[in-house]
Amino acid sequence: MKRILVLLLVLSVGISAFAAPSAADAALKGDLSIFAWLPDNPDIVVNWVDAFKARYPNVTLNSQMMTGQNLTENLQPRFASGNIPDVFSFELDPFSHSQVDAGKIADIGDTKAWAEMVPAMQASWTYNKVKYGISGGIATTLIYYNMDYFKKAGIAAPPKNWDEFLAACEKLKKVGIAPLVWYGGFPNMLSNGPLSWGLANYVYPNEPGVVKNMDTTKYDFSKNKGWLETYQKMDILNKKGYLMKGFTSTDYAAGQDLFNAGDAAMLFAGTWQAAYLIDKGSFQTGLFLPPWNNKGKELVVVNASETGWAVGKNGNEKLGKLLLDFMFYDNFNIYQNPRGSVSPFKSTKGNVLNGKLGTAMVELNKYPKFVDLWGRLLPTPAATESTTLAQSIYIDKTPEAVIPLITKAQNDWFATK
Amino acid sequence: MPGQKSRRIQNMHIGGHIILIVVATIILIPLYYVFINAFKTDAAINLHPMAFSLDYFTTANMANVWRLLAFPKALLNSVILVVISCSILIVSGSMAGFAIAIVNNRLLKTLYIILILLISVPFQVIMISIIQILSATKLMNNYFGTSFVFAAVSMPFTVFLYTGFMRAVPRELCEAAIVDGCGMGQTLLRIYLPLMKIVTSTILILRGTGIWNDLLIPLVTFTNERYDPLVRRLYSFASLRFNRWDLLFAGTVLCSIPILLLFLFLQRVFIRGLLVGSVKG
Amino acid sequence: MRKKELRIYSTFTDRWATQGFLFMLPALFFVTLFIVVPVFLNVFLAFTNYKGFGVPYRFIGLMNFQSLVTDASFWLVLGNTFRLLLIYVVVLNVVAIFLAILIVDVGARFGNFVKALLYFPCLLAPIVVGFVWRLILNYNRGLVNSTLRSFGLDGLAQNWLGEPALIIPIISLVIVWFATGYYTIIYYAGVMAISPEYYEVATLEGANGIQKFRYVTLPMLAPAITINVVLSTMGVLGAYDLPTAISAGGGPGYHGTTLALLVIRYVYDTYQEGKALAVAVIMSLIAVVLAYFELKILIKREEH
Repeated sequence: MKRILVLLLVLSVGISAFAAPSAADAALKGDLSIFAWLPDNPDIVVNWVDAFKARYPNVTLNSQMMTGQNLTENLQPRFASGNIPDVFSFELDPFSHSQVDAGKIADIGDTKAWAEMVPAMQASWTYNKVKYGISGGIATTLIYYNMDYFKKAGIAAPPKNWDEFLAACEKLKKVGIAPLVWYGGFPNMLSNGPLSWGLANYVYPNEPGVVKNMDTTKYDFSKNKGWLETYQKMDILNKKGYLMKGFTSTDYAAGQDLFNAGDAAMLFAGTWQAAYLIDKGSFQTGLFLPPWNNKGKELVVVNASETGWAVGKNGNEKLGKLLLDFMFYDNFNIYQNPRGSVSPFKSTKGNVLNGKLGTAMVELNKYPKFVDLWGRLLPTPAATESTTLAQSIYIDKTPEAVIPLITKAQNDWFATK
Repeated sequence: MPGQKSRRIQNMHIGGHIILIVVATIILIPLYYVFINAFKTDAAINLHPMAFSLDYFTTANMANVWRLLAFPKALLNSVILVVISCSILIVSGSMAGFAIAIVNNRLLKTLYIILILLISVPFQVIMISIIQILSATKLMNNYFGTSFVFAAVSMPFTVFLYTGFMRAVPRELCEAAIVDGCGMGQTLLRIYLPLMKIVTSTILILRGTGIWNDLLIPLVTFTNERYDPLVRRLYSFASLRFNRWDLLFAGTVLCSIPILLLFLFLQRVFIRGLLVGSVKG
Repeated sequence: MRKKELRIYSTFTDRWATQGFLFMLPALFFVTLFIVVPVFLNVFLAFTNYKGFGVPYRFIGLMNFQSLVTDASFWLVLGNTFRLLLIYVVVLNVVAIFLAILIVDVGARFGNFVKALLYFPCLLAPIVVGFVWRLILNYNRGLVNSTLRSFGLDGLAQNWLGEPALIIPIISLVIVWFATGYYTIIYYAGVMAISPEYYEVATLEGANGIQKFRYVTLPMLAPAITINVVLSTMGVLGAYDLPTAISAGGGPGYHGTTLALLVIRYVYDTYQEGKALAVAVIMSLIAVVLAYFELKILIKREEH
């Protein structure tokens, strides 16, 4: 008994010594702010803040959670009015690049977190030689599937190309299982899912310089047949009756619930949703790469970065970088563990990664050709319009009618650029 | 004959009661939905949204959301905004309404019509330029700047209400005040405003709740979390990408309590005011 | 006596003319700086490729407007806006008048309870109201459809939020649910202000309930109707939080999008603020024209 007490005493002294801020850390003074887009896990930011305050008691740290749907919607007025947060969620998009060019983003090449990031992510987060952000994780969209239903339908292995995919859907439909949950009410996921994989497999192989072409010239979306094929593939799934009934109003959260409840066999979802989807229903969940390649063609994959984090060049960037390293070098597990996302860092010590997701990512990295997500590659007006139109093909428009509308959005924007 | 008549009236009252009870139910079901789910775990919300059972009961959401909203700070911000904007509204609105109702010359009449037409300007129309004006006047991220915008947007409606009701006040009261040697300010303060209790509390209820719950204006005028009112913070749980209904519902209940209290308090004044009015009338 | 009255009347207008103007100044200051000036700035910027505060921009003539009018979805959105206006304003005002009369009718105790209850939705943030109704109307698991299915009425269970034809009526009715309390309070004050003598006279003349409503209540409510019709028109024209939440950002396709949502879409989703302002200018024109005609027609009725 005594020995236990002594042990406890020693332990508590040890812990308090360990937890107490060091003299140098305690002496650090300043003012910091985080602006975060983490709608699924608002707790993460609070946990970061608490940990930071324990270590640097004399640094004031404020955190603000993003509101609404769109990160830029939130950042733009802040940047415009000169209220740049110290550390904030940041996208790999034209807006971000314009802010890099405007000199509002700090170069974080000298942080420990940057040095730790894998080369592909470093390349993604470099623009005009400025190292402007830390990736929140390596991301793609995958098809999550219900293994019990696949067995029941007699599907031996996940499909490897488009024809096999249709055949699998047909088998599921035959045994009375709805093949796909489809985010008809949340077009952003249509853009991350089928549109992105369509771009990778139909548009990009015909025209490797497509991104540059859209950004620097007037662009006609009917010239490259891949755009039309992308929408046609999405249309076929509906025409053949593979999409769950009532899908035109299926939302993001609702879609995940339906899949977990076993209402359909498959669901397009991001790697960032792994923690909510793998083995969360009363069945075994499997993962496979969306086989959007036509028969006989090699799959081109979507391999991208999650929304990342940057430091504002606002005169306070020295402290900002310290905070960034605190969040992503010292305490990345606070962020990764509840989400189960794929780390962008070389060392994954302390990470919690589902083995199934790990296997899928290994598989993904075998493919030499890859592209980013749809919403990042298209200029913003065309991306927004095409995403809404992905919904329209299920309501009142044919894929053929959609293409000229995207062209119009693109060229109207280009003319006023 | 009289008996028959009163029975018909009674029937009508019963019919009225039934209709109102149906309406009350339609109003209550979604409110019940919010309230009951504020005290359930996320899993229970998804599976049994309407169930009332102690099995699912939890106060963890409340504690969690209290922390995530930084509730006391955000509450203070909301209160500050409502107090400043409503004070501006009541003071300048009643002054303008009084001037228009009493003086009523051509200049003021024209200004009044212009003011009323401004009711028709939706916030989207001025949203973008507001950022420019607030930045130019150094009123971005400032309680006063935001309150000024709130006050401006609600001003036409307020002036409209005050003018309408002040015109209905018998002129003799004003004459008596003049005879007593009251100036214009004193007449407004001593004679008119006490008669306007109903109008004032109506404006406070209608505009107070509107300002409390408004999202777009703080979204545009505040870029620093230090000033965020409750609803602006609550909105960070209310995204289409979001599936934490537990936090949203708990947060909604928390954010509504203060404004509910204000409403119940003002409603008593409101009703008393009505009674006083009818006795005098 | 009459002369004296007139003399004092004119003292108000004459002696207090300057002071009266001074009394209006605070109100004028706020609306000028924060409404009038922004409106003019806005009109100017609608002819530029403005992208946000601090970003250089240039004059591009009518290109924003041209881009809009050649876009079929803009006309769809315009149609949606008018459908929303029509359904909402009519249903809301009919329901609110009806409820106000019933509340007066059932007496103070129960009436006050219902009146307070009706206002409760207004105490919630509109954005939350939108999300709650989106949950309730969900096709697969929502309260409405599961209730219908549990009564065996599967045929009536609709995809409420996924059908292009249904979304605008649903948005309208949910805003009616949300806002009825607000407008009922104003009508209630109007009904309470009607002197009981009018009803007594009508009763003596042998009028029945409907006739009393038609010849006493309705005409006496005319001022309240004017303000409520104008307020509800302008309120719904600018409504953003609730419609965007219930239609998931204006879907399906563009069928749930109104002008108010389109402005926000161009500001925040495509960063074409100049184009957003062009939509806003069109919105203002609609608002001013509607307000003008509504006031003209309704005030004419008031005078009758």
